[in-house]
Amino acid sequence: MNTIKRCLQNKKFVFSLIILLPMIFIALFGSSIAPHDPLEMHTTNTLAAASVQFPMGTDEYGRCIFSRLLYGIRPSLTVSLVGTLGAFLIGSFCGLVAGYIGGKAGNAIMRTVETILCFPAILLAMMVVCLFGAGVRNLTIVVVILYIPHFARIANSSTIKVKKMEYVENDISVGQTTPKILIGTIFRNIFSPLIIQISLTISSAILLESGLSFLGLGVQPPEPSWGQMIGDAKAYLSVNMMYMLWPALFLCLTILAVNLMGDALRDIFDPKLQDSF
Amino acid sequence: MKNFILRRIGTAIVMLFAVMTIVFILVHMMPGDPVLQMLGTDTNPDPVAVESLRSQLGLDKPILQQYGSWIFGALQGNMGQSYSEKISVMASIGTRLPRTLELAFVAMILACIIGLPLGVLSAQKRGKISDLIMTTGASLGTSIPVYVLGYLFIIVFSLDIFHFGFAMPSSGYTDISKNAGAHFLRLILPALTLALGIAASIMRMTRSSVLEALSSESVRALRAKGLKEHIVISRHVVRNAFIPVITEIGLQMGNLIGGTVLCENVFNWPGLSTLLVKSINARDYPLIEGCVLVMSAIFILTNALVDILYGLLDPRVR
Amino acid sequence: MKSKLWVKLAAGVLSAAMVISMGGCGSSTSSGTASGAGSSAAAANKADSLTIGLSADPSTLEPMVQSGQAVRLIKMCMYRGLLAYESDGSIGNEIAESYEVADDNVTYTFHIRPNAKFQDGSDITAEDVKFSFERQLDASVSATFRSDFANMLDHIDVVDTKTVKFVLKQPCAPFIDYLTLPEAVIVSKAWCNSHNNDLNANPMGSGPYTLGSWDKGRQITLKAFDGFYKAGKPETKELDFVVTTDNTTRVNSLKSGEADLIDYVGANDATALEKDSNYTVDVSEGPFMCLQINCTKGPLADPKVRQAIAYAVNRQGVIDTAFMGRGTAMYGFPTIDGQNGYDGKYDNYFQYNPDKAKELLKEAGYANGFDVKILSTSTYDFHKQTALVVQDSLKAIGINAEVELPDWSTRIQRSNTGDYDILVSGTAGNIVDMDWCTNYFQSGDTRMNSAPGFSDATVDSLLKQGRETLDSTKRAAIYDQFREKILELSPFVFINYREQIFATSADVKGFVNLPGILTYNSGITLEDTYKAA
Repeated sequence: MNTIKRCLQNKKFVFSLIILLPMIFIALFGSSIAPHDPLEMHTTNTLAAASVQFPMGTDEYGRCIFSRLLYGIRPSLTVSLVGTLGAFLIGSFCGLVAGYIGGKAGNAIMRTVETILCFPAILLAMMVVCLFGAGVRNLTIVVVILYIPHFARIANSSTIKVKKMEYVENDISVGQTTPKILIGTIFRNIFSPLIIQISLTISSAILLESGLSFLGLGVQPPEPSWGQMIGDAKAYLSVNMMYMLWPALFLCLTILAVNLMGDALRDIFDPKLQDSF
Repeated sequence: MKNFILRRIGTAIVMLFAVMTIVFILVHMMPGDPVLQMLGTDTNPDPVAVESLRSQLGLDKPILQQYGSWIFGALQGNMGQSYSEKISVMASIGTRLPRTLELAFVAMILACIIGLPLGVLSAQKRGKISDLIMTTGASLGTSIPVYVLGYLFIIVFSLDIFHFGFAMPSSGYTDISKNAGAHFLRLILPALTLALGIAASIMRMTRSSVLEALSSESVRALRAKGLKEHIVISRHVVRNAFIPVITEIGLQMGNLIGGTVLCENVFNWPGLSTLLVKSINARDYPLIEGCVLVMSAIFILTNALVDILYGLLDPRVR
Repeated sequence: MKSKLWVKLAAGVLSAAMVISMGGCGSSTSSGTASGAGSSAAAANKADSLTIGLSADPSTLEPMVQSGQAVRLIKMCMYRGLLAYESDGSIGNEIAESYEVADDNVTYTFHIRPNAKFQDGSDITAEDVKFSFERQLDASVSATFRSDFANMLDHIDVVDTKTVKFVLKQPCAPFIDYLTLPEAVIVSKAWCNSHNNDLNANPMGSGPYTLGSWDKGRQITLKAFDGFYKAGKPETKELDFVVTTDNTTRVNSLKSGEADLIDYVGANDATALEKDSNYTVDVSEGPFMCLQINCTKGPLADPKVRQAIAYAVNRQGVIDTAFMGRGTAMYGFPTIDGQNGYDGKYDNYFQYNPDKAKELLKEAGYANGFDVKILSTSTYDFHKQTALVVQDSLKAIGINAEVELPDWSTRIQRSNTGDYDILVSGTAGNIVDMDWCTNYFQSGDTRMNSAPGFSDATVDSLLKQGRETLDSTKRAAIYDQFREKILELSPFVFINYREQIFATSADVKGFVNLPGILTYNSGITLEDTYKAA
């Protein structure tokens, strides 16, 4: 309860929530708000300006941009949330195990996991997509793979630190079983850096998915995704600028909100860096 | 110290080998046959020609043998012949690499020039309106995707919607030897686009590490001793704050390289990333391997350099 | 003290960077005329060089391999064959000064121009002609039209230095057409023998231009050949082909004056350029978009189902979306005006009629529709957009289509092996004569341009007759029957003609975008092209 109160007192947290809640609402209920089917083509009315019938105009196929915008958040959120969850679970597990075992074996596990970090994210993603094809499912897998090392590192270093601390030794001397020590004590202690990493990963994943969709390697048409809409719109900049600007605006706002949320969480859980506003 | 450097270089070499192996495996698992691609895409390929080309390229040999000969060759600087460009991979990369390096280098410098002073400034002005503006700007900077920022620049400066009276070129590349002016004119927008996102991260990290240094015990002790404020800042704060900033710059290398992929696409800067995308589309195995290897090598190398620099500055790390 | 050093360093770097990055601003006004093409100092009434913005980077300069339409522009400057299509659409003489066809209709005798030389100075002889066509049949060269020539040619005789005789296996009406292909070039026997038969690494032909330099992925420079057999040609001393694969960049290079001529202008850009008197836009409607259907099994094996698709496709929608309203819908069989005596009788075989489509589906037993996959590519926007509109059209009649968008390389591999249900294809046929249909519709192994599993004895026999009959009236009748049969069976669903557009700055003269499918041979007019300086 104390935590929740601290959250609500943090201005950044509240501000990002103001943006994120409507986005989540759109993700869940967008289909009810959308005035048109996002896939429905009106080929006689392509690249139209905003009107009552089409609040944000139409794209090159005559589809309603507003409706596509409302549906377009889903792939980004799916890839980033599910991907982050996967990376979190698998990465933390690897890091915990490696940290607990320690020694050469633990080291080996960590080094193996860290080879993924040798690649700039988008390079690895492009190669995986070329290998396995594009689409939401494969992008999610890419996100999981790419961010496992980050979570593993955090879990690993924290595990090592905590392992040395007194009360774990106490636990061992009292005779509690190993899994309980592992999960119970250590995990509780590394909660805050992990939470922060989660928000960082979500925003990176949204950027990655939208970047790949922009390049045509992400969500496949005709399903909409914001990055993909921006990519499609670039050929029509001089004809209808708003076609690109609307999804760009929504994308930036969402990423901004997630980043702010990450900052707020850092303030709340890591008071050393607290800001006065 | 020497041991530390050697160890770090050793790690880098191991990572390089790991990268080479992973790249080879991934590339050879890709669907799409380079032989069919090479024989011209508008024809029905003659099976005889297909087989003869396949053996010419050594693609019919067992996979381990192909791996071995590639590694061996790469170590000597010979990465084979590009299928799509019919010249050596080194030559293909050789023309593109300087362009990407130029873009990345200029972008990184711009990022530091913008990010570092702003970070220090906002730390000093902490709590005031100017700090709020700067940190909000930084938050925005890390939230705008590279390609969105790029197109915003294009809309404002190339499509000339505010009628500044001139239109910046939005794409293309002119050789510096042909026309230096045109060359740099085309460099500004992509470099700036790439730089701003990174500048924002640098600024934030600088700000927080300067704040941390300012409030640290050693600084408080120095102040208590009566040392003048500007000496405290210049001698101790900057020195200690600099270390995490260097780490951050190192971390941003990945973003820099990744950013060039999108940036070169938006501005049609004919660099290494563009070559990589083209080679993936053409299933040009040697070229894909060469490009990814070079980019990852740069990445690994700069990380190693940053770590070493970090080690130089902070003895605790060694 | 150390901090002051840091500050000084930072200031130094800052100013250096500012100088570097802002250095261009001062000369921004002069950057527009960066290219050498506009240098008016030396030129009397013609510019010394032309800059051409090219849409594709040539993968090879081997002339006998068809490696892309953009590359043909370059190829036709460097190499020539016996005959070629001229800018007015008629067949003109190139290396061949004249030819006769013997009464047996299988012997063609060509007389080579006396002054025809290769770019290394050697004369073009009958030996070279014989060598060139034998080279077409050489498997190691991988010539694109190898099998076509192998089917037609029996043997070639050298009569004397400047006379060569072709003997065909059977009469072949379109033979002359095949000789006009940009790939049917004459190359030097001596040169090929002394250069490992590698014309990509060592190009040498008989066209108006020689290869000056090739900066891979960036630029190809061609220089005029003084000994070209047409006096006074080429008009321009140097051609610089600058590879600019992105559409927007290419158009911008024309607008900024860096390029004098650009190819593959997109529909929306063309519309904008046409309104500007500073530019000339040259449009030909030749290539067409179509669907190749896998007739092997399932619902698509039934011609009724394929006909249903032909009625259901919203052709105008494709034109409006993928081609910004430019192009002509095709409700019949793709034909150039008057091709082989065609008078348009099947041009309205189909119409846009989703209800009729549903009816046909019901008759075929698929009243509830079925699932299908459409293969297209993400690499070319208009391919992708065509696929999406077709998907939408099929949805309206109950067929649930999924669109697959791999990159071009994977798409080519899959289409070459027939690994698809429905394929979106943009093509043109290779020669003007209706015999282009043989490659597309003859039964046999799956090829890039065929509908997998399509095999009809009547069609095969009509194609054979059409090729071997020499009387043009009889041929017209044969091909009319052929068209009707193909439309009835619909292994292909034809969608629309699309435009092939070139644009030049208004002071560029002499370039002609050849009509119809000959647009791909437009490189031949580069010898006439110059820029008024």
